[in-house]
Amino acid sequence: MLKGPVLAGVILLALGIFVCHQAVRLSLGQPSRPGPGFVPFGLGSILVLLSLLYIFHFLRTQSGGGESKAHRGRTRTFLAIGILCFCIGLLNWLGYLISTFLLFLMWLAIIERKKWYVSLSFSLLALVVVYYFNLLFSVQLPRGLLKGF
Amino acid sequence: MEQLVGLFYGFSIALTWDNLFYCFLGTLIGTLVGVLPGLGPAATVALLLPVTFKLPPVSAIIMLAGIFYGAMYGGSTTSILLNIPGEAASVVTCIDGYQMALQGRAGPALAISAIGSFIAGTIGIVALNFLAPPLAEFAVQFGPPEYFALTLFGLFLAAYLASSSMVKGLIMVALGLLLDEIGIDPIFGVPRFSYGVLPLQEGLDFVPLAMGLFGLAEIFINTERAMQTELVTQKIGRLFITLQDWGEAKWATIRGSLLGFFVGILPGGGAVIASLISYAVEKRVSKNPEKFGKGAIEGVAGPESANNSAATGSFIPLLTLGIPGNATIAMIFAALLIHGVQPGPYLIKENPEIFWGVIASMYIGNGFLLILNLPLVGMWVQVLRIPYFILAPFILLLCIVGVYSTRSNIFDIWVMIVFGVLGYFFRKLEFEPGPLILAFVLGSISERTFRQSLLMSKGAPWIFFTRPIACGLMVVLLALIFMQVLFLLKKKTQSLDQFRGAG
Repeated sequence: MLKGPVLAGVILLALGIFVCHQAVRLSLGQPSRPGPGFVPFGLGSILVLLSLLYIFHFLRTQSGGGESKAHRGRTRTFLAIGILCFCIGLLNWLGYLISTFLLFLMWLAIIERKKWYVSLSFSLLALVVVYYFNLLFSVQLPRGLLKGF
Repeated sequence: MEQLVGLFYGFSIALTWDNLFYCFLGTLIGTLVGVLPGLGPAATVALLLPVTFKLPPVSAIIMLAGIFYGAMYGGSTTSILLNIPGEAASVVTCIDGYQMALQGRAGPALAISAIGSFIAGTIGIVALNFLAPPLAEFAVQFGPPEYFALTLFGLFLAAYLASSSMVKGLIMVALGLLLDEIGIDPIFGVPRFSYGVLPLQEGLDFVPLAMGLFGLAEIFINTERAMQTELVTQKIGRLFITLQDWGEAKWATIRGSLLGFFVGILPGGGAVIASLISYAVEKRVSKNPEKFGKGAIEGVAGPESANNSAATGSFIPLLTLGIPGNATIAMIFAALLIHGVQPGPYLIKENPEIFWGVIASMYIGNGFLLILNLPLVGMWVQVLRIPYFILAPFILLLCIVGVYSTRSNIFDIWVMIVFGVLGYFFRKLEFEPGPLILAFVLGSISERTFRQSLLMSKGAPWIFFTRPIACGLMVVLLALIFMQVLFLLKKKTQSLDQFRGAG
């Protein structure tokens, strides 16, 4: 399996090549009259060069180990990202009040592993805070199911 | 004389009740941010950007500036009491500050960092006050080639100074510049890299990008680490320094203040590097370098003074050239643009109320900070008891509401999440997000001035070497690159020699 930095380098390399390809399609123009793709092409080429340097530098100096301990923490982060995406995905439909409540409840109960009454009380507090924040700054967050509120 | 008249005008603006309130609020939030580990000034300015949209521009900038220099004051508290830096510029303060606390000298350590910060802040503001106007006048002569050379120089220094590795720093700069390419081409009006997605045609907005890379990524990283807030058990003791303490710390304070200011002016410089250099300088000039690491008061006074004057110094390129030198200043730059104010050499003439109002507010803010950080230090210690599991989802909520409020668009929240995830991976791979955000902000200036320069010279790149200011900057830049390559080659030869020797 590719190591993180090598994978990152390969992704950056692919991105650089893709940008160059797209820049050519946009038209490079002439140095005396640079087209819309002129600067992106230059930047894409620099990115290709830098990502190659990065990969070679890593392969030359790499050291192994230290992976297993970080794994548990990483699961928490991926869970956090998942919860955030879930709540934002439902924001338009459920509205900001229910989404905020759900976000706090899931965050505290699943990520932080707090007792249900702690999670519930802070989620209710968050609901009140976001309600008054919305009112005070008139942000016009999506109301979704609770249109009347 | 002109500077003094300007300063009096600035005080007439900064001393209104509204602006005094925003100055106080900025310094208060700044201290809080500095005290709380896991949330730096760049993330906080990004978080609070949308809140300032409804304020008059001068009040908004007064508040955001207060957050920046306030964080420098507050950062030392956790370094000294918990051995956890509240923000990056206070990392070195941990070394001797925490040792002083363990020896029962937490009070003098906190006192010297607040007094040093006050002195440095004041020296920095006086220098800003008198240096910025002539620099702005000088910058009026700049045309597109000079601006391009300057942005290139700034971005290179940012990549060089702000990152652990030059290649990583440059990759971040290239990515930041590329992200700025998304949207309509400024000269031909052709959409670039937007693929028919309407919000992308307007270009990526700065707020979700900054909030994702700084605010959200910070939360994701802390979630992984499962941050625990330790209770403060050390006794702070008397909050003043003796004459002997002052005798030991005074030159470190003055050296730190001057050094910090000049490092702060450098593009890519800023408070973190200033504090690191100051610590190294103090250790080198000390008659008893063995004391460092064991509770030397100079090891607290120098870096804490340096980070404060650097924060003030970094306003110089912003206010005079319109070029931000570090990530937090880039946020303030964006705030000015959002408020319809163009920072640069004409700011002093076109918006004197902002230029002088912000400088005058810094004098006042420095006074607020001395009060907030000396007699009220006990209150900040109590703040440290707030568990992170409560703070994290509230910061998350602030990010979501803040981003949504800028354009009332859920698309921007998704952009923030994408950059939050990217920012998380960047941190894991030790890529500093600072140069990316700086490049994103400077991207439009650098591309526009580059293309204008080529149009002026009919495609001849020598234009950057035929005008004295641009040529000077390019020569320094090329010399820096040459030195860096030479250094890398030397290192490679040394490691090859070692390898052969071992063989």
